[in-house]
Amino acid sequence: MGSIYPPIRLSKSSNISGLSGIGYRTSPSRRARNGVLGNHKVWANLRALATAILTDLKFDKHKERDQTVVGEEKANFLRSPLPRQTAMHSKSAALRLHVESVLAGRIVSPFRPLQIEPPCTVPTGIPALDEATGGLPRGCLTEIYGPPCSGITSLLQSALATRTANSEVCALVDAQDSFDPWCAQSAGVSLRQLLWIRCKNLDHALRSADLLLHGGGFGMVAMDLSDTPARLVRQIPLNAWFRLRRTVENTSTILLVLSRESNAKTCASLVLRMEKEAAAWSLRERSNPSRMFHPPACLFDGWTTAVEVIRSDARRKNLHFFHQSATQGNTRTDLVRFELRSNPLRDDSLNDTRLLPPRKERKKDPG
Amino acid sequence: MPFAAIFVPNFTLQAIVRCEPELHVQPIAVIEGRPPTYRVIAFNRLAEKLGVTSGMTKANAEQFQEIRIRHRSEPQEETAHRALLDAAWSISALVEDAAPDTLLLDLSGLTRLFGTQEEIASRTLARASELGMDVHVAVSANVETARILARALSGPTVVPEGQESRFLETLPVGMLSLSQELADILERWGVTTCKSLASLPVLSLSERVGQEGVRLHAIASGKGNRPLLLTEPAHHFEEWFELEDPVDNLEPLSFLLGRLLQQLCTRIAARVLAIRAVNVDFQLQRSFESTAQPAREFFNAKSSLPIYSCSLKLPIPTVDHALLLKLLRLRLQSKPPGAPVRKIHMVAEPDRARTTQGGLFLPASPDPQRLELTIARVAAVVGESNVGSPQLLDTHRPDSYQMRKFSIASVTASIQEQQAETRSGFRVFRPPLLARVQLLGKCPTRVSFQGMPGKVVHASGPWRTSGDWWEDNSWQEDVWDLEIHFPSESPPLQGFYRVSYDVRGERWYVRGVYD
Repeated sequence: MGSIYPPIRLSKSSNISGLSGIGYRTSPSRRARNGVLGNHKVWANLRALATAILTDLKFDKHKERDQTVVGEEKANFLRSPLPRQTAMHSKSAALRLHVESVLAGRIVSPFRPLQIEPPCTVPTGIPALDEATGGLPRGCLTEIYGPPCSGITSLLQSALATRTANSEVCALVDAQDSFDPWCAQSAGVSLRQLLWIRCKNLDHALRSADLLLHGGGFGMVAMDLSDTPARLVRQIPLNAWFRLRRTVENTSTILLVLSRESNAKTCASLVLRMEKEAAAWSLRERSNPSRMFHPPACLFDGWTTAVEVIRSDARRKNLHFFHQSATQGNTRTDLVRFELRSNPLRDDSLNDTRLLPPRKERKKDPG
Repeated sequence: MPFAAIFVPNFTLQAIVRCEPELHVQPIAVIEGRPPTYRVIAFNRLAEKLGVTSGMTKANAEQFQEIRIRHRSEPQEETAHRALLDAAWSISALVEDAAPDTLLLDLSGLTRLFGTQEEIASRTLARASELGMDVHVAVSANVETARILARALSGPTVVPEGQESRFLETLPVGMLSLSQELADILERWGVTTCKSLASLPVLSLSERVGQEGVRLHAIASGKGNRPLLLTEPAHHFEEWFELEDPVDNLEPLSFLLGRLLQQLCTRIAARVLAIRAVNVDFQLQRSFESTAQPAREFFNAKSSLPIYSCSLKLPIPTVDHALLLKLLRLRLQSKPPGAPVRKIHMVAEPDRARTTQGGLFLPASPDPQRLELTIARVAAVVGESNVGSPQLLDTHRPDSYQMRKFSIASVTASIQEQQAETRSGFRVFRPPLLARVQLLGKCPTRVSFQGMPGKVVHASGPWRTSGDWWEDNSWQEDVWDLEIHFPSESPPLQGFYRVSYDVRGERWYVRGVYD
């Protein structure tokens, strides 16, 4: 039995994503990488197409009936919805079968809603934070903000160290040229695997990040806007953040943005706010007396920082996970505390913290 | 033992047309000589139809409509000859460089690689065509027959063994490259074709014209064989292009660069190599030349033009001419030559093609060629010196590092262990901020920088560092770690700063902040 509908001509070379017209821009390489099946826009377009055809058919059917019935018969027909719904149902089922048969072999189940899988996450290198957030999501924008000395650079270096330790290539877009390679190497970052871009202004940073994301292949692209004046970062239009989010979407790259204030809004899948807490100072004698390996100012031990999960897409979907894994010592599940150590040659007395010693003791120090 | 001969007809013209393919469908004449007395030395079939003849003056040739006049270019001829050699070496390793327009190849044992002799001839023809040259190819059992037939017959010609004399018999004796004296003697005898020469008795010929006559008799009979004088394969790849009119725009310049790069990539790919680096020299027009046109040729002859050099070094060798062109364009956009370009000289450094196998369980990394393009694009935005990978220097001088070119090839695929504890980060102020510091005793109590007065809450130090005292740029610092409270800020700010006292300059600086 032949189909009652005209065939939908959709050749193999047809650009399916072009059905929606304007408003969806992806490069051919991106489409090829995503595959036809992974593009939810294609599904939306197909559904819209089928709905439009159904609407046209319904209109034509009513028109035919209106021409044949008159008066009371017409009123009775319009008042009785059951036959009409049955007819529409059979029509829509036939149309559904027809669309499915046309797309058979290319698209499996075109009318099934697309199930978006949760993004893959990777550890930040800070176990307490990983437990609370689930890690940094790939293919998403993660925003970390906080005032100076809140530890956002430490978190960045920890994440970079983790990624480079996993043989991934990372890129750092440094908006104000404030990255310290010495400190990064002591934190475990493999500098050979780090592409460092020293920008002079915010525009350069945004353009560089965009180019890097389009280039693809990076494990992590970090954009450090911390030292950029907050009023300038605030002026970044929201569509720039959306563009960055769309570019990193469906890739395995982590886009990390560091700033003093939250600016990415809903474009960020994970937003963390960091704040400095108690500092630790000590003047202990060291096991290694050689000054050669001591960095300057080794007497500053570090400080404790608190991280608050402001927004997390994973948290919304996995609330049970957070209830089960409440960090010990924290009353709130979205607040994490951890210590940052400044001395690479510390001995085993990690918990021994002292405040500023008396002046006499400081004078005894050979430094 | 089969041999092949490659001959390029009208070599002078083809050397020019090779770099300008659009001239294939236009009448073109090549001129040579000193400025007032230019003469036509070569022209194509379309120009011949118009009436252009050899020896015609430039002024006469220019009277024909639509004719394109080009000067003879010896660098381009040399480049075309090298390209022809590359095409020959891509077929056989045993090549004799017989003449600028003629090459002889030993095809022994190649039938297993390329198939029959007809297929080898066709492949040679196609390889030369890829390099922009229309050549004649002849394959024969002896060298001289192949050489003569390549000069005489167009397209691929394959002579079955033992039938050399049949192919040669109709050819004039002038094809045998004999001396003028011998040519006159043969003409007086009425010997005009190879067949008539081959029919002469050898002994009588030897008595009358000597050994040269015997050699010519053997060649005309299809029996003239000799060993090849082999040429060592060279790894020098360069291309020249001389512009009739200077180009001052990037678009037409990149069009020409694309052609040259395509030629180089084709040549290098034919040798199963790849390009590691490209050096381009642009000969520029002098600034006053545009207003002094009559004197241009005089100056060209008398003195050299200024040269602008541009080089590309690739971490991964490639033969992708489109990629090279994009990189070159980005380089020229960031650092354009300061004057119109008159000549382009491009040299490619060859290297072995990259053969690596990706690990199945290793994390994905950027495609090297795409990464190179991305880095070039970013460098065009932020500057070339601001993109790369940091390399620490072996010194204790504060903030001592250098930028090196980022390369995916230097990244070693090894899983490293993560450190147990989290290190605090540090942000550097470049350049360091000048500060005003109040001391109580020898300890800082108040610090002011960038208009922010602050009170020192905690301090540790000084930590004295010095170095390079034997050089002019020696340094000596007392470094402090300070926790500074800024009550005037809104909201009040408190942070950990690294402050140093420059002993030599007697100034305080804020080096950075712990973050």
